[in-house]
Amino acid sequence: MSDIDARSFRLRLGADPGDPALKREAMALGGGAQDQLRQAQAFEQALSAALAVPLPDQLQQRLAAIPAAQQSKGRPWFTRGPWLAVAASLLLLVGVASLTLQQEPSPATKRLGTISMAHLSHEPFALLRTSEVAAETIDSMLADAGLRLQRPVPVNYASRCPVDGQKTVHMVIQQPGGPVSLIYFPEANLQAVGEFSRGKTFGKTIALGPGMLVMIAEDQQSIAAVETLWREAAAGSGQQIASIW
Amino acid sequence: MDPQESFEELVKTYSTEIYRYAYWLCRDEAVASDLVQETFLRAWRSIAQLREVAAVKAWLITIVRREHARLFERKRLPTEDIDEVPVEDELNLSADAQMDVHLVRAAMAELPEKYREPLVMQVVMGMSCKEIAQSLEISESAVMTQLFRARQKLRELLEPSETIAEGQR
Repeated sequence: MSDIDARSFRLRLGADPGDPALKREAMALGGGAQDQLRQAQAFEQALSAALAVPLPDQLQQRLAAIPAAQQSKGRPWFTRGPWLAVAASLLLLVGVASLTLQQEPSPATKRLGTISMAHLSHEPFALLRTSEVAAETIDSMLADAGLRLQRPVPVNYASRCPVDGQKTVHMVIQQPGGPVSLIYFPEANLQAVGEFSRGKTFGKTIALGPGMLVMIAEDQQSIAAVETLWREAAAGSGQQIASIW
Repeated sequence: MDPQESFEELVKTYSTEIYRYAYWLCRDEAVASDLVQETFLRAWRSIAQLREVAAVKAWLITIVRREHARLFERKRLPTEDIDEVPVEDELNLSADAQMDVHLVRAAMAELPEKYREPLVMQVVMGMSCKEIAQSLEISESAVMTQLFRARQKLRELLEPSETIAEGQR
């Protein structure tokens, strides 16, 4: 084979070894071309096997559940079952009472709420997570942020996220009333303790351990349940510095 | 076929390939899962417009790439140790072949992104050089060059371990 043909063959073999035309060319070129083709094909098999990473457990099921999750999210609350209607009436009563009693959030609460909600809008897929994250993973992430829990808390999504210059831990916990998003900020700011809301979304900020825990959800009862869970998990750690709510 | 059936078909057909593509973009199982979930969530929201079967794969790839780029703009992701990624059982690989798989994966992880991405598009997604060129918005000859260099670099990275393995025998 000529040098030019051999070079062109090698280039094409390296760029697209699956091209069926290469087999004919290898036969026509003779020399070492057929060996090169065989070696390239063996390499492709190894490469293909290496790139075939397995799908994580339940991923396909989670993907297949997207339409149902979205449709349920889009439905009005009164079509989601009679128990929800009862819960909603109770919430309405609590809501009216808290609206009259609730104070305007402090500027620090508003600021923490705004940056937290802005961060959540970047990771909407986190709300779909349903499988539980390993307790060791959560412990390790929170420990990096300075918080040590005395007992594990079930978490469905966790990620280390830089927010407002702090190394926060962004988590999601699935509750019967819908997902609750949490962001743990390692730096305490007691002035930011409070409640906030935007549209249908509510938020609550508490001091927990050495930092702040922000909880955001559409359902205030879910926030209350998650708050209890976290306060109990952090209790006795000797780190709880404020218990205002 | 109703929208839900179309969507289920889409998940069955593309979720494995798209997950593998996402995984090799970010090299992190959890982030890749998130990228895939976000991509299919968007696919569901746009299911009415996704009638052209030929365009679906390219559309899904565009979403994964966009989401990945957005994530990387915000934070530098820690990547998981490639040795911790299990080898696909269905392949029924021998012990030697499994070791090769780990070596190739480690070498893949060291490839610069500009080489790794077109290679994954070709090997995992089965895309032609023309389709890769359209997706990456570069010329077809540039794709050919990157694919050639990707394989050349992979071989270079794998050579020392092959030499060691032979020397030990």
